Amino acid sequence: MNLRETNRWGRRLAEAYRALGRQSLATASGRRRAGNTLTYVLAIALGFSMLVPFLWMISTSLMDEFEVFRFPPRLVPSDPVWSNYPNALTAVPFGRFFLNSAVMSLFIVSGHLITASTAGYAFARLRFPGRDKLFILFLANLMVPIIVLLIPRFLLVNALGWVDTYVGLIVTELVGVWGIFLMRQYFLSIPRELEDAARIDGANEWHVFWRVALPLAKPAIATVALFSFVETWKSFLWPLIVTRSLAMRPVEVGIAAFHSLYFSNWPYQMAAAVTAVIPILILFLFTQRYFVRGIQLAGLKY
Amino acid sequence: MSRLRRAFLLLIVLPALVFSAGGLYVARWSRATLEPELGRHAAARAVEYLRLRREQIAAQLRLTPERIARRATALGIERVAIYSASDRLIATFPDTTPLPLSFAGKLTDAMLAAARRGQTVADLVRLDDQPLWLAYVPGEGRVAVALLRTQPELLERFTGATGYELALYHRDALALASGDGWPQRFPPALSDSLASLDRALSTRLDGTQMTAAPVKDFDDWELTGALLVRPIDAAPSLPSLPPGPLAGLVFGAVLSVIVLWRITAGPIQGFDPRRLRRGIALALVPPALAAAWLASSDARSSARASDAALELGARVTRTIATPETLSVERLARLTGTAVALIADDSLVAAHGIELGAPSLAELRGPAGRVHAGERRLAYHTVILPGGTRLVLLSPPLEDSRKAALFWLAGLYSLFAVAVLIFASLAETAGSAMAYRETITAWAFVSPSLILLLIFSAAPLLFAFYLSFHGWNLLEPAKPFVGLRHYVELAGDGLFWNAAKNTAVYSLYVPATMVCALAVAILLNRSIKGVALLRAVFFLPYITSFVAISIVWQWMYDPDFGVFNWALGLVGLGPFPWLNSPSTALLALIIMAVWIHIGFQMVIFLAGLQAIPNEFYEAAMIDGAGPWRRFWNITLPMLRPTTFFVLVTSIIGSFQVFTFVYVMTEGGPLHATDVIVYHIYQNAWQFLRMGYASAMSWILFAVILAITLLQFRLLGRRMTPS
Repeated sequence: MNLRETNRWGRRLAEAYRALGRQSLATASGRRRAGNTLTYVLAIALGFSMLVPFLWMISTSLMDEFEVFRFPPRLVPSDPVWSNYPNALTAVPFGRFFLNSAVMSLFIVSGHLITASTAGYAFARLRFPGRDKLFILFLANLMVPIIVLLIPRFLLVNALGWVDTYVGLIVTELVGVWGIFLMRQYFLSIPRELEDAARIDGANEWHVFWRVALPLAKPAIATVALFSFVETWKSFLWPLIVTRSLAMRPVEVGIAAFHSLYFSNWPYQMAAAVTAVIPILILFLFTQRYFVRGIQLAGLKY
Repeated sequence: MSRLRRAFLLLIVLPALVFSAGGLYVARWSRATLEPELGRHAAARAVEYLRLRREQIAAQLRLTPERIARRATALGIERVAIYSASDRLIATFPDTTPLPLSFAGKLTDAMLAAARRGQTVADLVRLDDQPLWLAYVPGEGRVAVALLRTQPELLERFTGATGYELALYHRDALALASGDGWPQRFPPALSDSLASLDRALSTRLDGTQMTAAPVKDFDDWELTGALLVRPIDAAPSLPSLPPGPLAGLVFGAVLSVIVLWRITAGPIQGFDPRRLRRGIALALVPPALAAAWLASSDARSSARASDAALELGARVTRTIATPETLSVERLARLTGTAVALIADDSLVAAHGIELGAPSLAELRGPAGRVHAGERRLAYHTVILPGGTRLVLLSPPLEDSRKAALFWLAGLYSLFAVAVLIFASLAETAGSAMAYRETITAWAFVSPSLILLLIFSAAPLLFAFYLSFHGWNLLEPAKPFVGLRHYVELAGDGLFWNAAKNTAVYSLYVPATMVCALAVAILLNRSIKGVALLRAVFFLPYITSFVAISIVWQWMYDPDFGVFNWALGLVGLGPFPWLNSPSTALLALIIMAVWIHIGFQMVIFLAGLQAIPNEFYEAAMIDGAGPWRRFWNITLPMLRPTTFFVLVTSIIGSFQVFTFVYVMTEGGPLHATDVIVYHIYQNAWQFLRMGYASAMSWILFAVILAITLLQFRLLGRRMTPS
């Protein structure tokens, strides 16, 4: 890996990003209209099949414990049992799970935003000796599978007495190299004339960053925030390892625990699953465009 | 003061001071944590030692009065009185002395009753303001009561055998002590805290660290006194540096500070920043070596301490263990170690350890290290009369002290960051503008850099270190096992099974790519609602993976699941899905396709939209049909995207965990046991963290190889022809 290639990738991704930002889709033209009906039918059929597990989740969550074991299955519950929700959610401390996830996400997203915007800006805009080598070192982090780091991180957090605390959940995750990369690419893609103008006007470096560069990078910041939020909310392995008591589990680990506790009660489990899906679903509905743009940049990660 | 000079003070001198202070603190800290441990051992030994002496004496008291009289002096018995069962005085020793000592006054009815019931008891009493032992021993129809001289030579012997000084206190009597400087009377504060305690307590008295052990009365109820134990060399000292190297080090440090100070005074003619950087790097070598030496010498001194403790245990044992009183359990308790008794190269008895034949073969010599299973132990041998070998074994303390090395390494790497920053500041010191920019840049980068160093770089290296060690969270010993884990991995069928399952699982990637590309082409047009449709495909990828796993597990249910019902409608199935080793992995793959389709589709969409429309227009003018356009334009132009999706998705697929954990727990019959789940199980369920680290490093190596290959091929295929 060398910087030239990385830069080329970055440029390419930035191009893709901008291409998507322009909502005028170049491929659209009159000649394709003939195929549109077919497209609709196909796409809707496929799209519906994608939704089946979600619909089935909702349907099962409203069945009573006898209806659920009926064969052939009933696709729509005959008499929706809404009480499954309060019952399932009070069986284990779900409120606490959500609180834990919220606290964890709040701190980790803030950490990602701070480190990504500052370091990304420094790597894109500021000249200092050793910058490119350091950047390669940062990127090399992306190659390391997380499982290699988990055992030593756990030993470290354990030695510091942070197992089963918020600090333990948060502290290892504060930097996201991906966010730094994304911010750097974004800063590279926006013109630097404004910043230079501010410098000529006598603004100091902090001022240039805070008042000039950062406001221009709002879309990238939103993308980083969204992605680190979703990633944190969905993170499973580290919270599983570093928390011990039920009261410290975040939502994902909490419902996994619920899953093994109420193994045969499918309606309860589905109610819990629906509840876990809803926050992200709502977020997704409102920010769908950022997600699609972001994934094209963030795609490198997975 | 020039700005570079300020930076020098702030970045080099200050961290260097902090760093040295940290090193000293770590060294002192590990000594300080060591001391109470050894003290407790010594106190426990002292208590057991005195008890054994008392029992030896008691055994003698069962003899006839004449025999007692003959041996009393040697045994440290000052006075003996023998009573009949009906309380009549039969004999006294020494019989020349009149009987001023009123045993009766010292004995309570409860004590005598206990003695008549056949209990051998001894209590600490106060006589002439001295703490003394009073033992009363049941005999045949009589009770012997003896006042034991707590001879000074007993105390001295203890000191000689253990390196610890000993003081014996009665609750309200003066001490009987070896050495000076003990408190005159038993500290009342200590007596309160000891009264409720069964074990030894480490405490600080008159500025000296010592260990106190309670002495209870015969029915183990009331506190009658206490034993205090302290090391002969009371103040734990730092590992001392030989004067030569120390002087050299100080000289080098001062010199480099002066030189750097001069350099940083201001702009210098012919100033070569690269040379400065090299100079700083060189100047760092001595402190680095000193730090390493300090840390390793600390580990060594801990090792010596553990050896010393074992050797002391062996010496105590030598004075006490005679073949007729030998009990392995007893000795293990006395010395706080594991004990093995070996006669004619075969194990007679052992306590606290299991020794196989290979370990026995290693137990030659008077002292050394031995492997027992995954543990590495220090041992000392006592040769008993008759050639029987008594071996004491304990985990060497240095293993648990290696932590100090890592603290130092951490401090040192922070220092290295400071040096890096300083070097790059020095390089730009010529221009005010560049200097300011460099400062800002480092201020922006260093939080991320430090966090990454602590939580990514260091763990990565530490995992490598771990892979060469047996590392169980619960065991204090972390023995070095060399390449043993890697050799074991090569022959571990379960590991290869997990590797195979992971490889099979990653087949979802090409399957998903075909579907995703088709969907991307389908949705790559501006029709109404296309955004919503894309969102629907994308939905699984962003929702909770645990929730998804639960739903799919329910849908895969062989009896009531919706899949078997739907397949049954077209005359297929029923399939056992997750319940059978032959279909479980396939079920996971199908689910993975569903999850990742949207993610890959979005990337393909970006790729498709980056293809200039002119290509298609030109092709259409040439009369190419849709299929040929796809084959000759779309696919070649998408090659980098395809390649990128393939490689990153495969790397991602190697790290699958959540689905396996929630849905199958690796089963049935290890059919879905993938590599990350296997590592997780080994590390956190079987607690074999060293072994798990070895596996994780192999995974890392594979992913690294794939990534490097990707960059290589990518470099070639970056620009489509």
